[in-house]
Amino acid sequence: MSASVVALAIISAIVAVGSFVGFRAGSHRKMDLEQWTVGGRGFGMLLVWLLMSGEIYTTFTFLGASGWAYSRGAPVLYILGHTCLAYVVSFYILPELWEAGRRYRLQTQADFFQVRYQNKYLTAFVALVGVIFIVPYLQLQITGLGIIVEVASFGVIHRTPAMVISFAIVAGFVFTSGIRGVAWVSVLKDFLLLFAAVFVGVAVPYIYFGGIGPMFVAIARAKPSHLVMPGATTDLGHAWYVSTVLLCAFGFYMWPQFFGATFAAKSGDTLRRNAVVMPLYTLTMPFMFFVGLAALLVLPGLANGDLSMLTIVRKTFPPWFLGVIGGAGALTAMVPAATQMLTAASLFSKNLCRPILAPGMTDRQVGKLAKITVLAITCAALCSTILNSTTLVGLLLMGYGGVAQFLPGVMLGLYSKRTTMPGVFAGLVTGVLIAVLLMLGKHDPIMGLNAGFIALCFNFAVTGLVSLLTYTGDSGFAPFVSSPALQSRDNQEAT
Amino acid sequence: MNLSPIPPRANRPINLAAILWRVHQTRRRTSRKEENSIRARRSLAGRAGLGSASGGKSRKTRSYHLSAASSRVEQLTSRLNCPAKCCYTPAHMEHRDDQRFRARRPSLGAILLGLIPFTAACFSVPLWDRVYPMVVGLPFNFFWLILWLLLTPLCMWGAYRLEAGHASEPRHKDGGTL
Repeated sequence: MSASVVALAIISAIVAVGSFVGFRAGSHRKMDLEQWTVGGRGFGMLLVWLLMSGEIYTTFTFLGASGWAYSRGAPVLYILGHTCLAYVVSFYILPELWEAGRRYRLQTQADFFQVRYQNKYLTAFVALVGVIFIVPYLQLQITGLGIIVEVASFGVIHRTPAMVISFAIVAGFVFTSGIRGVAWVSVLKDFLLLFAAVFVGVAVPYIYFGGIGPMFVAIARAKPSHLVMPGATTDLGHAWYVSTVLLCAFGFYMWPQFFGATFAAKSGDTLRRNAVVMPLYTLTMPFMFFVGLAALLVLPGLANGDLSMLTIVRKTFPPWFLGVIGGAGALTAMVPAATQMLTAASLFSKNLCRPILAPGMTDRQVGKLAKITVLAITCAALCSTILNSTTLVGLLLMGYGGVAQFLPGVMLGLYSKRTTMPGVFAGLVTGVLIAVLLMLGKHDPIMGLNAGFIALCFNFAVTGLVSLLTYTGDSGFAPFVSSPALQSRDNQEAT
Repeated sequence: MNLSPIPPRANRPINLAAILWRVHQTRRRTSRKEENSIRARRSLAGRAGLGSASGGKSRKTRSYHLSAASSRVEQLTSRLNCPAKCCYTPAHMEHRDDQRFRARRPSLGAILLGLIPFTAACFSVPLWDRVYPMVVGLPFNFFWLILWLLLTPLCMWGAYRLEAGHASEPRHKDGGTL
């Protein structure tokens, strides 16, 4: 049996087990739209933790982080900075967001904008921007899956067919299981990823250099500039680091799929405790950097840095082990991709289609439309992946530049009554326009700062200014269904 | 012929301060009245509660009245206890704001604790972005950030203790903060 067959067989076995767990978790529950998108709002700390980490530790961590450590060097440290600080931000925002979610029975991010600003065009615009900027993230996962299969098959299977097959599986599993299935596959995936990351991160430097310390000594001797910013680049210096960390830390929980995970929690306190312990989970991230840095000296001159981790694993370990790592990588791509699809689909059908195009739709029809949308979005992401390619980190930063623009609407809207609908609308349009123009025009980074960060600054300024001009004293959350009615509705649904 | 010393309404200069003062006085008076009436009702309900041990038919009717009165009292007092001080509206009037969600702001202490990791891992980057001294085999910048992955939960645990103290305070009866 050739090496590529062994590796691919193990990868498919892991993916099959993962999908089976997902199908099982969702199969014996009646799925209405709320069960499908936010799991009936009953997730405890452990499940929320798994769900959130499932969405945080993606292919990006697995292949992108090592890839950037390989090709860029020290700027990759921004990943450590921003994940750690994003939890700090989440500590203050998420519990209140959850409270609002419970009061108004919110399911998506755009729902939040609807109850806060009560304008269906703003809601639809938020949904649209959310869907558009989820596509690069999905694209990242697809590219990752393609890379895994390509490397594991020693180049026999081309990237494109591999991507199509794996995404058919993901779409099928989103169809049947909803968010609960996703959370349970996360369990499997996280164990595999933890094992894979720590083992490879320790073993690879040990095999080639005799340990992590000696490896850094060797790199410091061979390429001293690689270990401090701006690393192997010219424009990713300290200003870029600060602006990117700020953008990503604050933009982190603006991803539409994290709103879904937030609303799935059992209580606000669950989220708060979660925020306290989450940074510890980031401790696996440096091991990915070590693999990339080891590859820098062992395998110089790779055309695509994102291949560095799998290539060095292939060079160092037997094929079955490449299969295990590849399988872990495949699940880390599938799980977040599933949540992203789920989120994008419900955003599109519930907040964009229904209010604007077909106001008469019932919840059941929206659920059906959401499932069809899963297919459409998958196809869109697949097409855009096949047509263009950037580095994995590049794709993610593009997404961040877009979704972070929701920040003024969410944060100011949550905490200040003076934020008005026209203010947020104007700010959001300005921010998204500037971000898109700068990124499409390849002006990122600009003047040593992250382009998304600049757009966010303009966004804040416009939101504040227009809000001040349009504030009339009656700008707050929509009135909510009072408690007894809410409880009777809860009872009705339970029976 | 106009004998009145007060000029007609249209010609009278508007004294804004006087108007505002009068409005303020009226509001204070009505709110005092409300408070007093609530206090009276509360003591009434309390007394009635003590006396409710007497049995028979009268007890039934009485307890009905009592529960109605006490729920009314609760309704009124819960509005008066509102931390946002927006609830001097008499209870029989439609109060719009109490049906709206408003987020509770985190305490200053919790925010300051959250600023520590931000300063250490983000703003101070020129100070720690260097290779030497290597600590436990890691370049100093790697070591520093990994160290803060461990220290951030400590800061946030402190913030959690502060916030959890606040969270145990009763929210508005509908769960939203007012």
